[in-house]
Amino acid sequence: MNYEYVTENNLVNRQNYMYSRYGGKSFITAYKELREQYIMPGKGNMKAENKNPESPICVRLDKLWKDLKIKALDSQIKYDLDKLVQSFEVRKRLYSEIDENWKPVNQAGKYNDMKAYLLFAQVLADAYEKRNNLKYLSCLLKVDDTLISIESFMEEDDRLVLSEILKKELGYVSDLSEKLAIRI
Amino acid sequence: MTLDDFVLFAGNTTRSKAYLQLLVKAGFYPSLCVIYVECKDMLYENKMKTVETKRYFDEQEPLLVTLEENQIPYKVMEEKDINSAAMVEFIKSLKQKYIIYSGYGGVILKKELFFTGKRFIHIHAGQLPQYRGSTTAYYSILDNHNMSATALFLNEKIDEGEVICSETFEMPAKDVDIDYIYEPYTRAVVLTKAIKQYYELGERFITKKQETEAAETFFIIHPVLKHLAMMSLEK
Repeated sequence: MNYEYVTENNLVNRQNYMYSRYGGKSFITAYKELREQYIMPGKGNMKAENKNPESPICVRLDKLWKDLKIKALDSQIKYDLDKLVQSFEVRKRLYSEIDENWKPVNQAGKYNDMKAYLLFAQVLADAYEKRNNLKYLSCLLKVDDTLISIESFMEEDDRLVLSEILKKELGYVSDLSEKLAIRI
Repeated sequence: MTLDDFVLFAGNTTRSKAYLQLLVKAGFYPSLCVIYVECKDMLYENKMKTVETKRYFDEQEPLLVTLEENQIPYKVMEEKDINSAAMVEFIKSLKQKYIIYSGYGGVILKKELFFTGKRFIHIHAGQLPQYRGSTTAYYSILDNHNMSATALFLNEKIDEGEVICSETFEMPAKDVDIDYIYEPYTRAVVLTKAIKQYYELGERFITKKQETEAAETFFIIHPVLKHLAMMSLEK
């Protein structure tokens, strides 16, 4: 079975993930094989960083990530993160210019800032590790589908960061399977 | 018993079939069923191709058959949008107080409907407030290895209305379709429970406001996680 949720560019071909077909273990195998294609062995600990102070969304994501590290997932940070998750889940895009609820200021605005998606994936991974809330893992899987779909536009450093994020994602899925006593 | 205070507003879905059949099985007959569908001809189609053996309800049986066999008054409206002006006016004209809402997925009721003088009963497929939002049955399977359903009154916010009652269910057998069979079944069980309570309490509902601290809203589950949930049933 194919893994059909990565297209030529998920930012253009937005996935709604509704009523997905059941493919059994072969679907999970297809998912893992696809992810593993983007993992670079032995290049650990790359982190996404915001090097662009002109990008409002990256500035905010960077701050959210750092706050998450210092303050864990307190109620204020959780509120902010949940608004961000909601905005992405509704639009399947992150717009560069956003309001206080992470909604786009301009629906026709830019949404292809690669760093934003990498930073967001990093935030989701950290949030999931802290809270084991499946909402964050589900969103991370969707962001990673998007990142893989635009990987050809990435620079080498971004590919390394993606590799680290995917390693973590596969680890979370593996741990969850173990907890459920499922062999994948 | 005829449910004088209740109208079943039914989209042409397996959920509506589950609601109607389980209500009838429990001896409850809505005083009116309004089926709303884009085209009346669709009521005679049967898209289900499952091999269920009526363990939970008969998903092959058209709504009209259940209604006619049980002499439940019904009206078919060729209209798929419950928020349309025509539907709002029609709902206002009904004498019943409560609408049992079994609509089409993804539709949110607009505020005009909440000024019709009727209260909308909805059965959410998740424990509230812990599992608000979408595809919550699968998140519950992954977190708790069970499924729940909650009866609530709808308001303008999604899944935030006052709770009537809820119930938790064990996992279905591995070959049962969760989306089209088991989840509608669990919702129908809780609907029947809510109606029973109404009459046991002397034709009234006692409700509880949701505690927002425990609230969590979920979005459509990623297929990888959905697969893990379904594979966990296959053991």
